[in-house]
Amino acid sequence: MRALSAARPWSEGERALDGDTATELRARFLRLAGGELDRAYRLAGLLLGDAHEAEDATQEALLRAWLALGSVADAAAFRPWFDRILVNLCRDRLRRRAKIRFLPIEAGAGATIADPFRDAIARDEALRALDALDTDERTVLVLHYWADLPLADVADRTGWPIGTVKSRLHRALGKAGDRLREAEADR
Amino acid sequence: MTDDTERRLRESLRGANLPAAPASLRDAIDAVAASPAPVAPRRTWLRTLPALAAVVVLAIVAVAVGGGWGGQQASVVAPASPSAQATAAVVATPSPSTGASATPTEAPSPSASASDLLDADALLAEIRAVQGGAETAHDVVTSVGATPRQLNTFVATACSEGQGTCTLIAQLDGFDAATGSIVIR
Repeated sequence: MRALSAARPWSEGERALDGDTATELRARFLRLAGGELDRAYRLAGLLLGDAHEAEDATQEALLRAWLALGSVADAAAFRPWFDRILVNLCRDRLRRRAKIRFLPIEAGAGATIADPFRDAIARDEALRALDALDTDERTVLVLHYWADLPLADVADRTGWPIGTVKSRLHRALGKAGDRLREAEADR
Repeated sequence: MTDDTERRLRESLRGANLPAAPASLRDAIDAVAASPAPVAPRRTWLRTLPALAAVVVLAIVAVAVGGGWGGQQASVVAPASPSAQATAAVVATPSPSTGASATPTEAPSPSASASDLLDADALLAEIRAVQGGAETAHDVVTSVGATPRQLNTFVATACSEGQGTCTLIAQLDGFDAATGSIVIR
């Protein structure tokens, strides 16, 4: 098999994929998307703070990525491109959530469904501060501090100008700091 | 204080014990990849074709209006084919002044009227008579008393029907085979 980054998965101008090309394309998708799966799920979980929603968003991102795989030039471009799809989907969900509040169905009186992301966020004071942020502020913090992306890459993932990224990061840090100070004062 | 917030957030986010993707999501990858393969993009040149066509049309109009690149005192008789009519229809008016000049006039209609018709036999005879001579396409047209409009119609008809007249006209000096028009000097 050819090197993953050596070529596009189809020849230029090809409209429909023949059997061999489709098989090769599937193999590449499985390898690329499979390699990103854990990271993508965690990123979605941190952005959404909900395991079920993270799973849904990641699954939807996978489908979109598969259908639009033609716009990825090579393997190195896959992660940023897939990140953009996922981040946009998560932001859409967060915006929708601001209008419609989904409540988990209780398994029984007093019982709660365990959610690894909610639990992780609830355990940590600094992570709880994420809840004080709006969608864009939360996104920029997670991409910059958790995904360890430079601000230019955050701008690439979100489609915002670099100045907007900086201002949102600054605002997010301010709000998170206020939240942390309030929590310390309450102790 | 911001630095402290930054440090705490970074440490908390990186140290968070986050779960791996569930098995259902791994199954989803397989299911997605088992769905019909994505369609490759169309040829890029197909996508740019409309823009390319617009550029060509603009270039033709610019050449027709400007009288050519050299600024010579020449005018272009636009072809009478329906497609050409949509783009440029500039009929020559030789000007005594220096520099290129051309006067736009109406284009021939797709269905030629009686006044558009030219005595094809007379034109053909004249063309044959000047074969090998120094006459230009314009000379030939003038000799049979044709107007540019009549000529447009004649050339378009002859060429669209693949008549030998078209070939003969194409061989005349002053006939621009690329644009299907006669340059009148």
